[in-house]
Amino acid sequence: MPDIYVAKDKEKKPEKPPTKLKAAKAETVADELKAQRTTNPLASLVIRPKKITFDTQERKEKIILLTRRHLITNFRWVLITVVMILLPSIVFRLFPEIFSSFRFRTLTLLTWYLLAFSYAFQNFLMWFFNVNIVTDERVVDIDFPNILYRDISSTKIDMIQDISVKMGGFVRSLFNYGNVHIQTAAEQREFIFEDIPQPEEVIKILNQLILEEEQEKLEGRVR
Amino acid sequence: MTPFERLVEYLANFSFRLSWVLKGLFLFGMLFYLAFGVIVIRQVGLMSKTLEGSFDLPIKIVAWAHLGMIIGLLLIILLAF
Repeated sequence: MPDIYVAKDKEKKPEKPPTKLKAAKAETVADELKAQRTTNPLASLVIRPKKITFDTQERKEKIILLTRRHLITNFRWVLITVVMILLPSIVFRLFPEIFSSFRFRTLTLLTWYLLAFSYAFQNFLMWFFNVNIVTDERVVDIDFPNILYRDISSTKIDMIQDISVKMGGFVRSLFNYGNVHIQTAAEQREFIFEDIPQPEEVIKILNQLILEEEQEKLEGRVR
Repeated sequence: MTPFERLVEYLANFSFRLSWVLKGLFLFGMLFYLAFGVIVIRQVGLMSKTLEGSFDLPIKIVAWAHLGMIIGLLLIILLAF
């Protein structure tokens, strides 16, 4: 018996190659921030620094963020240094007979300018080396409270319980800097990133890292 | 003239000069300042060991220049005054 209707064979669609979606999702925060890398060594907020390492850093640990006090917080000591530099010329103009001897006048001036230089250098060192570091595993606080004394404390990202930002006052609002308080379940209960620029950005990155750490735990990829 | 007589003569002719006192004070202060300069070198070493970066070398150079200036000033006080 002849067929009344014969259905055509459906052309088989070629199989699509596997998408790269899953691979893109696996990109870490460290990789994402590579595009925003900061190269200025004197920046207050350094994202994914390339040539910076710290004392207790592990081999595979990547620095995500390095923060130091906002540049504007240096205003006070810079102003004092400028006053120290200008002061002798003002004093000698007002009291020209204060040092009759040229020798002592020169000696005093040299000593004074050297003191001004020491003061500025010491303050610069304190600003430059007192940093907070966020790696893909930990939060590290490096402090040099005074000469020849250092204090390094750290906590794992998964120990972070709460993050808050405290900003207030005219200058802080104007220059967008403030304190980030990190509450932890570790021995040191609180980490404070003082006077750091763009605190919201720092909190955003920290939250991303916390999520990433939780994801790693769920997938059993904990280091 | 015996040494004792020489001492007596020296003391009799001794005249107090303010510049000596000032020089002594400067020297005394400079010794502390020199110690401070050395400590700064050590401090920079410790700091750059803790946080290594591309800016370490210029900072170390400035620290050594700082110590050099302190030594230079100390020499000026010793020799020229």
